[in-house]
Amino acid sequence: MLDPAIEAAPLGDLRALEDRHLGDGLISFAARSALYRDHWSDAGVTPAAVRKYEDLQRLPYVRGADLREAWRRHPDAMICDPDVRAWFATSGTTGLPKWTPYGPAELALVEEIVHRAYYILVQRPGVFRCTIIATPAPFVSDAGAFALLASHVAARLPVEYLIASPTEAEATLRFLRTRPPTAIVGFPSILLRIAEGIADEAPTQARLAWRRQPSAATLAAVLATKLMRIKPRHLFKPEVGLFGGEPLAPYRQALHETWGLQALELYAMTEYPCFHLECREQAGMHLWADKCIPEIIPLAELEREDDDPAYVPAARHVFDATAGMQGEFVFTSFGRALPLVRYRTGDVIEVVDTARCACGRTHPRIRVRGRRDDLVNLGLIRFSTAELDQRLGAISGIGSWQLRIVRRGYKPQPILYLVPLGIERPSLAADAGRALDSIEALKLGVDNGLVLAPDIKIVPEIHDVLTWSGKRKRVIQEAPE
Amino acid sequence: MTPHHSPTSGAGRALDLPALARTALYRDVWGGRVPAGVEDAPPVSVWQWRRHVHTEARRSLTGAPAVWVLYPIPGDDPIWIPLGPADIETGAALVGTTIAAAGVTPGDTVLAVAPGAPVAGNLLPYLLSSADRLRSFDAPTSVQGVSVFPLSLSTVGYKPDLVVFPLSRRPSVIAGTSADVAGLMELARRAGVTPPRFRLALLVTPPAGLHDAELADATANLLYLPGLFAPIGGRPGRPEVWLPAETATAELIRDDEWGRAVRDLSRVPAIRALTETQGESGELVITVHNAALPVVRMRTAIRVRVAEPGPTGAWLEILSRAPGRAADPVAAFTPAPNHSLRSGSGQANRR
Repeated sequence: MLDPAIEAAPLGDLRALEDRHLGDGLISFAARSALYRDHWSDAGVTPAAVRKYEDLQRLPYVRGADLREAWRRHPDAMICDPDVRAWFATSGTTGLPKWTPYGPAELALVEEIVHRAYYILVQRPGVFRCTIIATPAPFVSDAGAFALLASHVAARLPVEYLIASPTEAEATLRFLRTRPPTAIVGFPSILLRIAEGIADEAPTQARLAWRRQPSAATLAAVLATKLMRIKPRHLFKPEVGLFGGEPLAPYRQALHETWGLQALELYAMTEYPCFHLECREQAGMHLWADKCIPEIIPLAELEREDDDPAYVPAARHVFDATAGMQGEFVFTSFGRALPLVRYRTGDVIEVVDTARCACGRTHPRIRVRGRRDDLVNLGLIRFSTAELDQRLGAISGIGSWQLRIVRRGYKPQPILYLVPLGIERPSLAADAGRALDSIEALKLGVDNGLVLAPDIKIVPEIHDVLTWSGKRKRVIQEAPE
Repeated sequence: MTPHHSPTSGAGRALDLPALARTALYRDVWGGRVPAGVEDAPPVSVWQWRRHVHTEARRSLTGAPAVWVLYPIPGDDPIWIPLGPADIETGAALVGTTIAAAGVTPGDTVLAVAPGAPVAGNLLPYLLSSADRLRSFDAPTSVQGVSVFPLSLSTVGYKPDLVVFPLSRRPSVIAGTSADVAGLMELARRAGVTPPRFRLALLVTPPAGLHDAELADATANLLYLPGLFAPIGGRPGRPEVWLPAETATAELIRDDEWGRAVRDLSRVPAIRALTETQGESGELVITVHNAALPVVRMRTAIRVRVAEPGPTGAWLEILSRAPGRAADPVAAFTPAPNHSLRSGSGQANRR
């Protein structure tokens, strides 16, 4: 553990730490941003009066849409601290990409958290080789790699990094034969796609190696590729993997089988660079409660909000949640460039436990169960239901539709059920196929082998699936998200 | 055995030539003998580097690597070079001076078009804004107050509206290869944004960064040399880059020598000190005193003209066209903007 005084602190101490941030004027500082000015003014909030958690609960929530709108209306009045070093973007699956400013405090936060991660990942002395498959800028994972370097260079930890983008996977994998990694960090679906590529390429590469340098070893390699399908674990033997960007559950077993590693999950977002991660006990991801004030809006409250949009759902501190409680994750960050106060993430989490973990850490453990918003969630590949509805709406002859997400192995496959309006047109399925193909994110996922090609079924009627509050669901996850 | 001390050793580190001669790489390159000094060492080619370092690195390392970086080689496949913590800190300490001299000033907002990792240049956005985070000591000069939007063509090519917000923040500087910068401007147009005119363009060479009056008021060049964590750079309006002697030792294989070596493959080309070759052009040979694995007299395949050599460093003009050739060998390997980051293609000039 990097810092037992913090990571294993009693929850009461962590709560006191959070109150200290509030007492030190966190909300007054955040009030510099136009993001909050109108919201708080309308709600009658006096920022200086918010000095403890009970006061914070009176503040209105903010959402991603509020962020986008505030940036649009007040582009020069959003930042609380002008020392912004870098900007990173979300992918913009729910609208335009959201850009987030990072200053020294945000960069230092990532460095500290990756340092904590080091003590989770590394279990024995010696050189630790870590390969990171990061997404290219402006996504934040490149910056995460920078923070790793900064943190470990400063601490002189014996870590050897190889940071790669999926676009450079081939050159990277070839080199990894020389420097096999102890740990892999990346997106579960990308790492499995890479595993497929390795299996497909292995026979050709083995033959080339034999031709270049005939030896017993290269001949054995050729024979091996004839006898079995080569998996990354045959070549690299990493011990542990840290995976984020999409839920790990559908991929965990496949990652173990193909890469031969223990797969740990992390939960991160661009808006606040504090990533929460699973320890070796694998009993949920530790939510770093010294770096934010974590809250949860229970499902029942969310349902009431669904029924009555004017209703403001109540959140409770994650420390006060019962084990198993599910709801939307809300947090207040301690950032400097643009602190987020009561930010509704749209992510539905489950509080696994708030008791001390077997690893000794006290920070509550969570799992991410899905999204609140109107997304078709295929892991890394996401697009809005509204976009799908718009594309299908442009086709004549569709009475109603339903999209079910199933999994074949670990890969998601969308199955679109269509009920024709009146007599079925012969080209209906083909038109719908073209409509799906025109959704760029989906096409990207299919073209890159991350998602199986959609199937279209014309049916006389659709079996409705309802939400708790009785609304009809048009996108149904049959497999875990 | 006394380590050899070069007057231009990077960050004051000395080269221990006897120890280096025991590594698989330099044992092969030096034929099993210990050179009397760097000036006595035969040059190392990129294919020799590849043969040893890419296949069995542990037999060549002289220190623990913190990171491996892939360096593009003009007209050839890229090479992996290990950098230790001290090598990273050295680069981070120098980058502030480099970018300040190139014309970046406090308050600048930089649009940095970066390739995907592990290609050298991937960390340029962070070096521009946050090099101080990679150092455990204070550098004499660094540019404070620079804010950077990192962008990669592979991402923006998929989602052009990613360029809308950065351009709305009125960036004053754009950085990247000429091809990447041109590609980004085209994507901006596709996203419905008229590209602005920047105050400064930092163009990663080679190919030579040519001044484009429509793009920026002034242009300065940046150059990644194999083994350097951070780029070296030029000055606004000057076609050359400045290679400080404290960063790397540079030498030259003159053009006429290069021709002889092609005619007679057994001939080891003569390597000249830059002070002896003012005004001449040829292949740049560099020595970088890295801790993880020193780069000793590597033939970079980068063709330069020695503009102004001196005791503290040299001004080098990066040439994109070899005399007498029908085609530009560097430009021929320059990928089209939206093909610059394809998987494993091994093309040169990916900065």
